[in-house]
Amino acid sequence: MTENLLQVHGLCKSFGAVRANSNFSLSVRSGSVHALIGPNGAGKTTALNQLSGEIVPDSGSILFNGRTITRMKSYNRVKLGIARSFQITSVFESLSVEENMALSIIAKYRNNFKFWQNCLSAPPVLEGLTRALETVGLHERKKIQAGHLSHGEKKQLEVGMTLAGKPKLLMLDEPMAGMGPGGTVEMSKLIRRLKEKTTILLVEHDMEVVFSLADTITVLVSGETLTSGPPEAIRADERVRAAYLGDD
Amino acid sequence: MLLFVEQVLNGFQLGITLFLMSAGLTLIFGIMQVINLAHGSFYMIGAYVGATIIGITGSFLLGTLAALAAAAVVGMAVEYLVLRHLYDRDHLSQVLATFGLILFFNELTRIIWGRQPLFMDVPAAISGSIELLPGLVYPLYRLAIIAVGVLVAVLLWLLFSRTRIGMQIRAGASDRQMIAALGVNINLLYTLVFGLGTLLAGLAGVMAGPILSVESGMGESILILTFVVIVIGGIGSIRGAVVGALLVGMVDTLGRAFLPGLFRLFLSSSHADSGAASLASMAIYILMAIVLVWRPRGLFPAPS
Amino acid sequence: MLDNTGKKIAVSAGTICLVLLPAVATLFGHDYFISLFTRILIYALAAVSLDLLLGFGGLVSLGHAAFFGVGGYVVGMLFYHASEAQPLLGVIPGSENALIVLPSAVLVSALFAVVIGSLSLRTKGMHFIMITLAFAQMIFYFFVGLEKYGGDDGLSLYARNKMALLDLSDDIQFYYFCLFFLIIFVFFAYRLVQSRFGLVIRGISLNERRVRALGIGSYHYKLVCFVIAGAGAGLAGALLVNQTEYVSPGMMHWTISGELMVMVLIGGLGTLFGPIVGSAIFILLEDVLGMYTEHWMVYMGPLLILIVLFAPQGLFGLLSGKRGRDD
Repeated sequence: MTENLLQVHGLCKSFGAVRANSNFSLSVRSGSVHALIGPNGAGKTTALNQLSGEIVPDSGSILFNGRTITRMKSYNRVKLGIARSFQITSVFESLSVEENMALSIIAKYRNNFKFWQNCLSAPPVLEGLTRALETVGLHERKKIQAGHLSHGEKKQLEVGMTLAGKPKLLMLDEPMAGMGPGGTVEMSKLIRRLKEKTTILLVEHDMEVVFSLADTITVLVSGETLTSGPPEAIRADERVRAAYLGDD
Repeated sequence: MLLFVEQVLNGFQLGITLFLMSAGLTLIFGIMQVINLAHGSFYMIGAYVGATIIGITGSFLLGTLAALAAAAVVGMAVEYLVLRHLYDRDHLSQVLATFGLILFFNELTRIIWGRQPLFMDVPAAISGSIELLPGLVYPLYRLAIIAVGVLVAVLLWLLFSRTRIGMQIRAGASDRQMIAALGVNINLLYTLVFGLGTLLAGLAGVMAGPILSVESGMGESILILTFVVIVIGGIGSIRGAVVGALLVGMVDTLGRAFLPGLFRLFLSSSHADSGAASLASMAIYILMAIVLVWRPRGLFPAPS
Repeated sequence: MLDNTGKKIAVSAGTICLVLLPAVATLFGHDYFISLFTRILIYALAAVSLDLLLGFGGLVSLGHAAFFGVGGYVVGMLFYHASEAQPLLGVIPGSENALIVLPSAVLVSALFAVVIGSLSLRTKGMHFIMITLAFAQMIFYFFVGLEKYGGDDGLSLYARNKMALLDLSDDIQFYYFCLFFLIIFVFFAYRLVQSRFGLVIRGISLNERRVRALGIGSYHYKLVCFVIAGAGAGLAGALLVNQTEYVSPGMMHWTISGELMVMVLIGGLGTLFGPIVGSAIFILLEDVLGMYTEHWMVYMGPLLILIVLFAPQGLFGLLSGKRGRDD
């Protein structure tokens, strides 16, 4: 059995009287695609925000690569190798495509207090920029303002930026949201390719995508982990069906 | 000891004035998420209109009512004409536009009332002093300000805890999406909240009139103190406004009263006086810095 | 809307005008314009430094005049101690030498910016605006309380700073002295904005959460940006006090912070040449309208509101077709 890259135990988080997560647990194996699903309002985004460090949990623990990171700042988690993309595409709209990518490349370096040399001709950017843009197929579009890209291209750029840090764990928050059928196929291909390089935690509504891509699925209901298992087991699980039907 | 009690009362009175200013402004910040630099202008409008009407009619009551009406009406007009268009804009636009409002109102009062400050008399009925404790004589008018302030605080508390609209406002201050979801007419609610805030500022202005001189630009010195109160108390919190206002009022008043004496214990008198005066006028900002380091979102932060 | 070439032409034309201005003014006997435009250059320097915060860093500081004033007071206080021949605090000798005074002004205002920035940047949004304003007010009162240097009334200098090769008391030479610093600072800012540091700062202003998600802790970048801007304002303040030979707390009154913001807005937020245009327009308006009516602010206020509502990119922004913020 492969070791667990991410081990989450009993996370709880409340906002005032609203309980967003209670007893959320998760184990993600190295090299797997792990999907996190659940009906609307199940607390998936809050869970993801706690893993990326934007929200500090009230209780529980997060172990990454054998290290406790429960209260670590988000940007330090990135340095350990946890990267995320957002539900709403968040490329920097008024920067050019290459500037977006350059920013994600220099993010790896602790010292970016370089005030004189143009950011695009900085050595680390020169080395990695072209390859990074080619990976997501945006090399020809590099001079364009990111705000002028199509929705699918923005998503590709965003995933490319997330990858630039060479993360050990890639968390994708609804990568298919707002994409047409063509975009969904492209993105599925991209995720399959990424699977060779890194471990993926996927939050997604599109069940077809989830069941075709995921090695393991964890179901979240009312902020709590209901069950985890391989797709076939989840498909057959009565409680999961009840949770989804009850929600509709 | 008597001096100390007297200064505490003075501090309380300044705190009350600041509370009237900050209660309204903290709601405007909290509910509309708009930064409004022009709140001091309504304080000034209240003072000018009050002074003028009192000068004409001789009635302090009429003057106060006119001041409240003027501040509320101008406030709602400003909300309708300018602020409403800024709710969706970034803070910088809000700062610049409300800075424009300040320039306009300050210059307008100079055009209407001239550059000479106006002076307001304390109303005859409460112009005397009263012996609170043996040896402690205190002006009635200042006591009246404290009484009015406490009354307003109680009324606000009743408004927010007992009435439907008050609860909607409070809900809005902590969660904007929520009031929209409740099906409240947001535009109307915003205008009303803004009017309530400027009305309180006008009240503070007319009450401060007999103590300070009424002049163009008087709104900005109080505005900055109000900001300090809100930073200390936390944006959107009435409770924070009460605590912050009293803290700032006390620290400022007691600092100015007692720091020079304290400094003279250690330093020659000329150095002591100028050093103490400097430190006293900086005291509230130092207080703010301490709160900031300790709790960056203020003492009573609204839940995010 | 102009394309890149158009922008370059506009910038070069503007620079040539500024370089030729003293000659033309002298030719037509309007010496007054030289000192007026010196003032414009100095305010432009302060406005450009503020734009590094507002336009590029997304940090709405309402206390920029504090650094402007601190820079000015360094000149005033060093001059005072030089002429009294009595060191400041018993250790620091006074000076009238521009090569000592100006760097000191930059350094001291940068130090003030480190302290104020490191506290203020713990907060965001509305808190940040109010706190920068409050700290500036605190420094304002600090200098009001300094009786030794004139308190409220301020301090008069008897002469400008001195340096080898240049006679700063000559208005034309002083004009070029200021123009030199403005050009140097703008060029530095231009490189800065395009640099790695600048890219991070621009990213933060567009979407700070995303920058942190990329693994960059934003606090220190914002602080450095705050300090650079404060140092620039300090330099401008030191030049202004040299021009007027007078310093008072009025220089750091909060309305000055507001006016600097207005200059940035009129010219074009997030551009480097916009604030220069903005300061020229603002000061010329003040000068021209001030001749016809003492109440020119009553027109300026509504005009400002209209610009915010209808032309938020500013003049230079309109020309270069710059887009607004993302969020």
